[in-house]
Amino acid sequence: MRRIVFIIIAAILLIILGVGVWFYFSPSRDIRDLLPPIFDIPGQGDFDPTDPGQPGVDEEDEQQEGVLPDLRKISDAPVSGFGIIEKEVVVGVEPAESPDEEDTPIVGTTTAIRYVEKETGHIYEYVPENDTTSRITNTTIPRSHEALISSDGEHIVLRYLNNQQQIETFVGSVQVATGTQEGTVSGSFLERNITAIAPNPDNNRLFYLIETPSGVAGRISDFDGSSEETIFQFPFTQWLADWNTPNSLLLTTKPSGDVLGYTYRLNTQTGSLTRVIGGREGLTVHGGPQGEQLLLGTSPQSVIALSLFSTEDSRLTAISAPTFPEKCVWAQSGTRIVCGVPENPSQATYPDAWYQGVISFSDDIWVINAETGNASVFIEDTPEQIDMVSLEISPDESVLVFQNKRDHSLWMLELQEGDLF
Amino acid sequence: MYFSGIIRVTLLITIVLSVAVFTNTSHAQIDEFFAESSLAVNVSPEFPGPGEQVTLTLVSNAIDFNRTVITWRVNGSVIAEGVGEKTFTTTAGQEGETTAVTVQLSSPTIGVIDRLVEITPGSVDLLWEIPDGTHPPFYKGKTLPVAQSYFRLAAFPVFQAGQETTLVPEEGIYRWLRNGVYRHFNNQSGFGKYFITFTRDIFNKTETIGVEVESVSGNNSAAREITFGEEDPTVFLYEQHPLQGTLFNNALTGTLNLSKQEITVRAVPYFFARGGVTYDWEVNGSQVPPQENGRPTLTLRREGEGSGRATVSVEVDHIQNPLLSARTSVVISFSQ
Repeated sequence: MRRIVFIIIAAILLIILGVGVWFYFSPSRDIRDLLPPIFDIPGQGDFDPTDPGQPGVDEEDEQQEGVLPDLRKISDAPVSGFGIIEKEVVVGVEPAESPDEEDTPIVGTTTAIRYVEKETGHIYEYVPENDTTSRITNTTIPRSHEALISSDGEHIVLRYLNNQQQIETFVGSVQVATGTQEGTVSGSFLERNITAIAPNPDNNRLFYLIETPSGVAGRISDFDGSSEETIFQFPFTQWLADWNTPNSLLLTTKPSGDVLGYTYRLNTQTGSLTRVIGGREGLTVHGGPQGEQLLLGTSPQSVIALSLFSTEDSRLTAISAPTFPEKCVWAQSGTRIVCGVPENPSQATYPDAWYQGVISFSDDIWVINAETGNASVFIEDTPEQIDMVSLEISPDESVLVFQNKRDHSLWMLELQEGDLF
Repeated sequence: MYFSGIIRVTLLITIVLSVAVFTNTSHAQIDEFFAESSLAVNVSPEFPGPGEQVTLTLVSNAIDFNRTVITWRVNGSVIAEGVGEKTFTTTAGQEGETTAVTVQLSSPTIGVIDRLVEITPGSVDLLWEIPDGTHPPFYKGKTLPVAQSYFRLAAFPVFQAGQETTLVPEEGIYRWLRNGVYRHFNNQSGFGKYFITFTRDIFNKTETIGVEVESVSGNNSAAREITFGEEDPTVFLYEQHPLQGTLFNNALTGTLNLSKQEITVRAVPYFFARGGVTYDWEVNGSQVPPQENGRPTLTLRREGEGSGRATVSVEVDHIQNPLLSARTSVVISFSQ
C-alpha cells in the first residue's frame, strides 16, 4: 500500500516537473505573458523592423487570449506621424449557387492605423480589430521629424532636416507591399523651409506657410503637392496653422507665456481674414469641426488654463482640465473632446518650456462635453508616463490614437460605444 | 498808392457796417453766437477700444456751466441731466458699433445748444516678431527679443467686429511712434504703411512702439502701443541621435543616466541674432581639444567598461554682439 502511494506521489511530481520543463522551454513563451494586460505591448516584439523580408506579422497569440487592453502601445519605436484610415477587408464569402461559379467575397471595412517610423521612414499598418502589424513600405528616409498620411492612406508628407539644418518637405505616393513585392514611396519635394503645415479635415488637402522676401505666403495644394495656389500673404511670418473646417482655418501667432497672442480665421475660398480672439498670454487654439467653437489655451503667470470659446457670441467657458489645446482632439460630432491633461505640471513659462523639451508631462485622459464644458477623468493610471500629442479619433469614434511626446511612441485607446456620449 | 487808398476806404466802410449790425443785435444773440462757437467736447481716450470707458468733457471759455442745464443722451435715451454736468462717461460698443452721444446745453443766456459725438471704436492688433532670432527649425514657440534685436511689426486693424477683412490692410493711414515720438518712423508711416522694422536701441532696456490707424474715410480709427522688455538668449542641449535626428522633445538638463557607449550632444541657441555664434565646450571643467571644439555638437564616448560621470558645459557667444551669450551644462552618468 505504502509503495502504491509512493508511486502515485512520484508520478504526480514527475508530471509537474514535466509540465514545468515544457513550459520553460516552450518557444511561444513571452515575457508579456507575465505582465498584466494593461502593460502589454501588442504588435511589438514579434516584429523586426530591420528585417526587410518580413512584410507582415500576425500576432495570433494575443487574439487567442482575448485580453487586449483598451489602452495599448502600437509602436515602441519612435514614430514621426500617423493617419487613421478606413480599409476594405474581406469579412466573409457568399457561397456560389452552383459548382461552376466561384464564391463571392463579402467586403467590409475596418479601421487601420498607418504610421511612419522615425528612424527609417518605413510605413507600417496596425489593424486594431485583429491586432496585427505589417510593414507596407521599405523606402528609407531617416530622421523624419513630422509625417502626415492622407485619409485614403495613399499619400504621405514627410518633413525632416537636411544636413544644412533646413526643413525638407517630401510628398509621396504609397505603393503598398504585396505578398511578393516590397512596398515603396515615391514622390517629390515641396519648397524648402516650409514653416508650418496642416491637413484639411478630410485629410486630402494641405495648407502650408513658406517664407518669402516680403514675409510669408500661405498655400493650398493637394496632398501630393499638385493644384497649388497661394491664398494668403502677409509680412508677419510666425504662425501656427489649424485647418478645422472645410473652408476655413485658424492662424495663431506663435505663442509664448509672456506675450499676447492673436488668432485669425482665414477663409480658404476668398483669402480674407477675420480676427477671432486676441490679447491672451500664451495663446494656442484648436478649432472644433463646426467652426462655432474652439478650444483656447492660455498661460498667464505660468498657469495653464483651458477654455471653450464660442466664435458666435465670444462667450468663454472655463474648463476644469488645464491643458493645451494641441493635447486634445475633437470627436467628429463636435460635442465631445478628448484631452491629455498633465498631472501636477511644474511651474514654468508655458508653452515655451514644453515646446523646448525642458518640461515633459504625465497625462491622464479626460473627456470634455463641448456643450456644457464639463470635464471628467476617463483614464487616470496609464501604464507609462505619457505626454500626449497628435491625438486623432477614427471617423467611427472607435479608436483614439496619439503619440507620447517623451519618446515618440504610438498608442491607441479602444473606445467603446458610449465612452464619448 | 491809388489802390491802397481804395482798400482803406473799403475797410472803413466794412467796419462801419459791422458796428451797425452789432448795434442792431441783442446781447442774447451775441452770447449764443460766442457760446456755440466756443463749445468743444473732449473725448478721452482719443482712440477708444471696444468696450472701453470713454469720458466726454465739455470745454468752453464763454459758457458758465454752473448756470447751464446739461443733458446727456446715449442713442436717444437720457442717461444724465443736471446743472453743471459737464463730464460724462459711457462705454464704447464693439468694433464698428457706433454709440451716438448727444449733449444738450440750455440756459437763458445761451439758449439751447446741441452737440453730437459718435463713438465708433476700432482696434488694432500689433503683431511682432524677431525674424532673425535663432530657434530650432520646427520650434512652435515665439522667438523672444534680446539686446539689439531686429523687430518686424505688423498692424492689423479691426474696424468691424466679426466681419472679414481682406488681409492686405493697405487702405488705412498709419502713424507709427517709438517711445511716444513720431519722427523715428516718419519714413515708415503713411497710407498703406501697415508694417515697420526697427532695431532696438542698445541703451534702452525697454522700448515702446505705438501705432495709430485711421480709415481713409476718417470714420474709423484705432491705436495701440506695446512695450518690449529684454530677454536673455539661452542655450539648451539635446541628444543628436544618428537615425532619429536631434531629439528636440527632451532637453538634457540635470543628470542624464546613460547605458550606451557614446552620445552626441547638440547645443541649440535660442533667441540669438543670426550672423553666427561660437561654441566653446568643456568637459569636467577642461576645454575640449580644438579639433573637437567650436562646433554645435560634441560626441562623448565611454572609455573602458566602468561607469563614470562627465559634466559637459557649453558657452555660446554671438560673433559680433558681446551682449549675446549663454551657457548651460549637463551631467552625463555612464552606467554599466
